[in-house]
Amino acid sequence: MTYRHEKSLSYFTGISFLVHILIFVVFFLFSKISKNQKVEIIEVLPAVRVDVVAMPKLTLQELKNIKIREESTSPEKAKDNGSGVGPEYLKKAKKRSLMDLLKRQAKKKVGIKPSKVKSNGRSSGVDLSQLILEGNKISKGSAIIGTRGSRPTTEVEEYVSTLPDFVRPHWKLPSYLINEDLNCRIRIYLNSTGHLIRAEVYKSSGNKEYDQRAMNAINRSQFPTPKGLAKDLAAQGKIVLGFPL
Amino acid sequence: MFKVAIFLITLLVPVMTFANYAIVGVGEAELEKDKVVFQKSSFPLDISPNESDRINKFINVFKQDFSFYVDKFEVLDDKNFIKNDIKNKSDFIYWINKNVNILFSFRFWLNKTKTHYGLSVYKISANEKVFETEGVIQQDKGLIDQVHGLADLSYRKLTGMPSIFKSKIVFVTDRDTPKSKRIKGNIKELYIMDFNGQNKRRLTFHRGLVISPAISHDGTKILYSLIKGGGGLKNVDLYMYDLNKNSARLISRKKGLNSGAIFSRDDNVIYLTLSHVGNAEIYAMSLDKRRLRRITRHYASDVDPSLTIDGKKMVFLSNRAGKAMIYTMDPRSLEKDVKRISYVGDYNATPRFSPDGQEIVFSSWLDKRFDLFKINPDGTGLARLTKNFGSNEDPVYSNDGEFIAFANLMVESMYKKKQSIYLMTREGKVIKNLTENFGNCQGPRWSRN
Repeated sequence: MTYRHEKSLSYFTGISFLVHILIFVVFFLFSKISKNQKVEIIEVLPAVRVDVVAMPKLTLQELKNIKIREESTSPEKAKDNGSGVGPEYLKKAKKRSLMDLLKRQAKKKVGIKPSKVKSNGRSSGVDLSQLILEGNKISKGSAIIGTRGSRPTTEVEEYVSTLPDFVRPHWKLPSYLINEDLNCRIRIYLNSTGHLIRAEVYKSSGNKEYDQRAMNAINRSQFPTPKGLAKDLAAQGKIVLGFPL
Repeated sequence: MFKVAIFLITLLVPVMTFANYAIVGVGEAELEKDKVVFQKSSFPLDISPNESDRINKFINVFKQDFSFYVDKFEVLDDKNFIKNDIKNKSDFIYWINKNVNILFSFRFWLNKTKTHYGLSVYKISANEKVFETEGVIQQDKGLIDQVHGLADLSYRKLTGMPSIFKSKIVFVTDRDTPKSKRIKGNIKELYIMDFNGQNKRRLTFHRGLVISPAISHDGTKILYSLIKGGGGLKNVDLYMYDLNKNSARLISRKKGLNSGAIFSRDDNVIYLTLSHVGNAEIYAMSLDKRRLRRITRHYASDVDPSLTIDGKKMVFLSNRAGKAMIYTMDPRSLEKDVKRISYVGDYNATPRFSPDGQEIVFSSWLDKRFDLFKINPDGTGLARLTKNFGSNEDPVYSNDGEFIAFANLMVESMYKKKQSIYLMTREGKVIKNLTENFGNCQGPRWSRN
């Protein structure tokens, strides 16, 4: 019995070793193949539901100039981890894009607001509620623009869909490039705190200056901390930013 | 071994899932203003004061033309830079270090009795000379047109797009009304001016009320309606002014309205509002045989047509919904694909397509005055352009779609008001009053080139 037991142990040890070797080989081959393979792409498209209830009160120029106080957003923004690599966002108030405001406002219930208790009779700054004016009011409506919305959003999609807001303020083109019909895609690698480790051109526009300006926009951006599956995706460089799509 | 295979497959599934790429679009880029410098790299020394003024005027007009594109160019003062003409590649470095994007380098010299100019345009960031030209500076009257032409050519070479520099604006003004009749304001004549408000010229002498002008695509003809006559009900007749012949002729005098006329792309057909059937409807009329084709048929009034360049879409105003709302349709057939695109506003007016057909600008009655708004042809993207700036009506896009001209009314008192033609960017940034102290002006229409 003892002999049979020892034989069985070495047999399974050998099998285990072989399995590990096989797994390693499969992983190696898969990584080689996947580089040349056409991969499935998850395209994350933002959507917002807007009901026009009256003529807008604010002009385009006014909307552009509104500075909004920073709100706590999901996913959580990176804190300085003391290692000197992670950027600190929490203290910096950032100018938000109009689309970002609309998206966040769409999540809020629009109804009769309870009367506020005035602390000292003064407003503490420009408030988001100022945007909920006639004509800029957003509620659950019947019309939807965009292709997202029919399926539930995943953790990855939720994270990835926030990234354009961080890059867009730095995405600028001169007059001689802005009307060119160009499109490039940049692959980004982020560490667990959202710090950019590397960026590379995934698909070139064919115009060096255009690609470089897209790359500059990414290099100047500070990204939020990825969570869960998004963290793995970001670390593996599987997030691709399209300029413009 | 079967168990091993199952184990391997189980391991591979998540790996394959991770092979997916998540792609997200950042969106359209914001326009980065080009920093522009206009420098005189060489200037003749032995020159009369008059000739020196002419050269300075040449550069200043050129510079002012480019200054209109406030969202595209930031014109820097050349005094902040040392003269540094680009003769070889290494000369770009000075301008790169100064963060200058575009350099216009002018040279002037005398040859016998004529003053010559040379212009080199450099795109600094791309290390390239975009354009170079030489010529003789024309005498005073032709100088302005010459500079607008040169600025337009430079702009096209730089951006690949047409500019507004050679375009004209037609409008009507009551400045010819005798002072005794000014309160009634019953005389308005047709005028034409450069895009920047210069070179205003009177075209008509009807001593009547000219309204709703429209300029042809080739820029040689202007349609307008005229209300003239004694007491009682006055007819609104349609005329066409020929800029080559400097004369006007009657086009339509049907009973009631003959107004709001615009040209088709080939200038052979016009679209107008007629009310001879008892109700205002939109028709297409051939200019050669005056043959009519009805486009709208509804018990409500349909007025103010505006077409896309390809003529496949028309926007118009109708009170089908009970109040004046904006509708689009295919004007190639009767009542084809009529779609309401505005659902808000007490009274909307004068919808006009942008040249690229992507936007419609219109005025709407709000807070006891008209203000300007724009909307996409599918009814989305409603945005406000003006506010707290008097009453704003009659908007029209420039030939390149970058600007909007409109009539602004400022009421100073019960008896005093001032209506002027203003220019603003497509995003609503007001740039300039084009008709300062030129009577009450309205109805601006921009030429297509």
